[in-house]
Amino acid sequence: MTRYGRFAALIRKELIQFLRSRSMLALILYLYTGEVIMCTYAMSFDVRNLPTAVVDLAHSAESRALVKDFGSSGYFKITHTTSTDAEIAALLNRGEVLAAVVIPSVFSRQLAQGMPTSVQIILDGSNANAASVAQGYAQRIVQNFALQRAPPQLMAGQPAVELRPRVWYNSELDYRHFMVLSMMALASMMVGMITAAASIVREKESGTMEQLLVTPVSPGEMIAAKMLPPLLFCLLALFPSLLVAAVFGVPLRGNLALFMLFSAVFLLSSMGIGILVAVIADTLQQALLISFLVLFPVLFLSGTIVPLESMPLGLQYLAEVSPLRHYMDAVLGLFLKGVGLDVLWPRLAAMLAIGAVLLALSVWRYRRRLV
Amino acid sequence: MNTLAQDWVIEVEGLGRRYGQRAVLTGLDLKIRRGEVFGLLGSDGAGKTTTLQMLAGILDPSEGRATVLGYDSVRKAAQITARIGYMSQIFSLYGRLTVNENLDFFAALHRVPEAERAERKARLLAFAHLERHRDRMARFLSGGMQKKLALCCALIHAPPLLILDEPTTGVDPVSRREFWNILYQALTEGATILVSTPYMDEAERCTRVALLHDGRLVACDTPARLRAGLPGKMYELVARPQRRALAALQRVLPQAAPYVFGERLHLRLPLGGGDEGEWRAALIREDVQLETVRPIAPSLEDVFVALLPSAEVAPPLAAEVAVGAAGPAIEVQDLSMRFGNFTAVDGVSFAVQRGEIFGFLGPNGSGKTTTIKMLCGLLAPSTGRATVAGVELGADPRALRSRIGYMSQRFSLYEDMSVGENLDFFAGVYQVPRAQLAARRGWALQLAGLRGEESRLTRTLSGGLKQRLALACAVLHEPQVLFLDEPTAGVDPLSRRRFWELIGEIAERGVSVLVTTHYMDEAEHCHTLGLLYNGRLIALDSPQALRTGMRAGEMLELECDQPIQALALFRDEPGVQASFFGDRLHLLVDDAAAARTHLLARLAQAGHKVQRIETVPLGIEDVFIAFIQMEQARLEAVDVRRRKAR
Repeated sequence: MTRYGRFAALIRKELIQFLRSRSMLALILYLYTGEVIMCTYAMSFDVRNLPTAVVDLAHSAESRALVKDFGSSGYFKITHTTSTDAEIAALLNRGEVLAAVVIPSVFSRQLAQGMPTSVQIILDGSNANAASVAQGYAQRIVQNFALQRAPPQLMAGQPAVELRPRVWYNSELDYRHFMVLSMMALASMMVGMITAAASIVREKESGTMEQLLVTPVSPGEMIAAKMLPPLLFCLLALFPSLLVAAVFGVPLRGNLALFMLFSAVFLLSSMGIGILVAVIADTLQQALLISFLVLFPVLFLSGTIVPLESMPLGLQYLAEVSPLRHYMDAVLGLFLKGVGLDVLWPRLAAMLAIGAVLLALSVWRYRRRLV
Repeated sequence: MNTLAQDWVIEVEGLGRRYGQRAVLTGLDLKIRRGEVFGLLGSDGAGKTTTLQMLAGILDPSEGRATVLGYDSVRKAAQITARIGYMSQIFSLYGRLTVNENLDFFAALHRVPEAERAERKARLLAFAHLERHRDRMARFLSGGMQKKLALCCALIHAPPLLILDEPTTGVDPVSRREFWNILYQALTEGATILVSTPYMDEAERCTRVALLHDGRLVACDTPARLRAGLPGKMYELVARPQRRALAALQRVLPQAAPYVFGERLHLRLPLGGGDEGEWRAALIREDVQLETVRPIAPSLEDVFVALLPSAEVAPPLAAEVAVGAAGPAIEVQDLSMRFGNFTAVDGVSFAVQRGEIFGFLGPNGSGKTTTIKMLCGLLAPSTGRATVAGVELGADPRALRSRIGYMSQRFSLYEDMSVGENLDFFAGVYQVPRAQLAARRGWALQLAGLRGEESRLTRTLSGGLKQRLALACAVLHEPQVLFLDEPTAGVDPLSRRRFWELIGEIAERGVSVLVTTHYMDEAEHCHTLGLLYNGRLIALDSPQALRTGMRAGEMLELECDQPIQALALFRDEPGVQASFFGDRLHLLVDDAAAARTHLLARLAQAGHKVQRIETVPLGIEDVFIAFIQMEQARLEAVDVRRRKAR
């Protein structure tokens, strides 16, 4: 006897509904493209064009050359030139400049005499991260300046050990590479949490869930059917996102198929979070509030925003339960390092485990509402 | 300067409201006189709430204008809102404030002077029978009490105009009666009342009613004149077998709009009986026994059904598809459900036979839905046992769910899918064998009256059609037992009648139907009735047996001049329960014949001129009120005993 498959009917219905919710499709596409582009531009933690005031008390060719070095570095943008300390304080207070370079009047004289001299840089430390990055750049500019001007006899006095930095995987230390990838990961995270959860809560709110509950559909079937259409669509939506990454010059050194596999598993585990939230919540509003509570720890414990290594040890252990943390690691490995499954399999296993636990909890919780 | 001396409290001209492209109300003209109880009737989506909101000054019209208490509803909206008493459909009290605090808050809001406040509060609480609960938080009150409290809050500043939006929907009959008594009290104090309701029997309590349909005014007059204006005469037939009789009448006399009213058939014949020979002959041809034919007074519902644009009459269902296999129906023993220390269902026992329509009646919160959810396997009962469609509860939920059909109070289909897609989905979920799929699908479309409309989006269907489609989806898999939880809430009378015909047809095929409703008149359609109150089954029998078995007393209907004063006359009379009924009085007495002379003497003594006094039949609602009052007395006795023991 041929029977109209129950699961097939569920999938068909979910596909129809998913493809008919145009706004959801648009949101997913936006998160994977527009949001990635916007955040990559906006959320650069790198320092560029820092508005800077210059107090040149030396008024010499050398001091002007140093100011020029600052201005042409790309890191600082000379917006104000002044001569008094009071005005510097005022500019910094008003936030018109975030840095001030003070060249003392004795600068050129001491330089000419081969005596040690100094240049002061005042930084607005309210954004500690930007200030410390700017400090590093300023140091490099002044050092280069000093090296060029130093008399040959002084060159000999340079320390014998020299640090020769070589950066792997991202040789220009372009922060954007990291940003694009973490935004892509974040997009998958949000989309995963929203799609399946929204369709469950929507059914609860409209009363159709009750209708489903009195049919012979099992919790597992229901949840699986809710996950499949968004999963397929999100995997498709990853391709425009890859295009964005390529435009930003992010190399894909690893295997594309492997990336898709990791993404699928990650999407399933983030859907797991969303579904668990949706199974607990009764209304969209409740679901949003709970998601809010969940999203932040998952996000901050993932290493996408703050390096995990600088966190207290306890939090580092806690981070292991954030699927985003494993996915982020895998994505960096796949794109920038070009490593494969031999290195990344623990990440895959971790995500599978997290997803399985979440979905099992959801099914259990959902079943408890039945008999 | 406005003057309240003028006769019209509300004047409406060409009022309309649209939301985007959709017109919710068009060209409404209406005038409401001071001292009227004006009823606004219509199904969900007819435009009742929109109208009331515009008249309350909280929604601006898109066209036309309204003058309320002499103020323009747009430019002087603040003057209106400060004066009127308004009660919206949703819970409008503060749940965490006590009864007392709620009243104080609304009194302060309207700056009721301190001196008047205490007196008025005491009087309202007494009238609402809420004195004992004055220190309880509003959210712990029953639904009926909450509605009464909301009304007291709306009345605390003695407003000249009360606007009430479906205040009694889902409220128990006793609270409903008390609610109307408070309204009539406000009326005697000079208020004008505008009330919307989906219940046709409440329309009878109004001095004038307006019927809205699809955002348009269909009729507006006094109930008596509307009834008199009904073309033709209503007849009640008892004919067996009823289903065949109905089919024959629908074929021969479609314009008579025959419909099933419990064990009887009602139809409207042109004056003079029409071509009586023809339809009698048709009945004989169909081998139908015509037992009685008698003229009856038309109800307002009959009037409105005649006025509404007639919906397409779906042909009777084809006989070849059998709904429901043989099998036992429902047996419930001592079923209870506790949530914490709240008992939602308290030791309920009953049985439903094959092909029986079992009506579960009771106010919101009485435990109807909880019972149904237990029987569907959606909730595990705390104690007790039940067998549904041959499956012990909790034994095999999957088998149980494949043998039952369920339709919840909320429309529960996928609105963003088409009619056909919804049917296919439920067919798939219930694994309707492919060989039967086409036939069942066609049958379901016919049942829903949606043949040829498979591709229509469900969202675009009318309330009545949605309901029928939901029913069709619920019986697609030939369930043995069908659960219907308030299937007709908010649907227009015509669709409700058609819906009950469908339920009757389905039951005749052997399906057991358990249906809940809070429309008391729908009780007549059921073979057996169970009345739930506070989680307990306080009455269980056939409608006829309940009516004859319960000595609820007899009802006298009195028409006289100055009914307001007459009511005051009987308020403290022992053995008489007096209440307003539109422009008449209803007096519930033990023995009509004995009371009649006494009452007439009292009226004559007080100088009233009596136009008419006669015995009217007790409605099923009156019977239920008697049962509920008995139950309340029992509860109070238990309460007293418990307090004494302490």
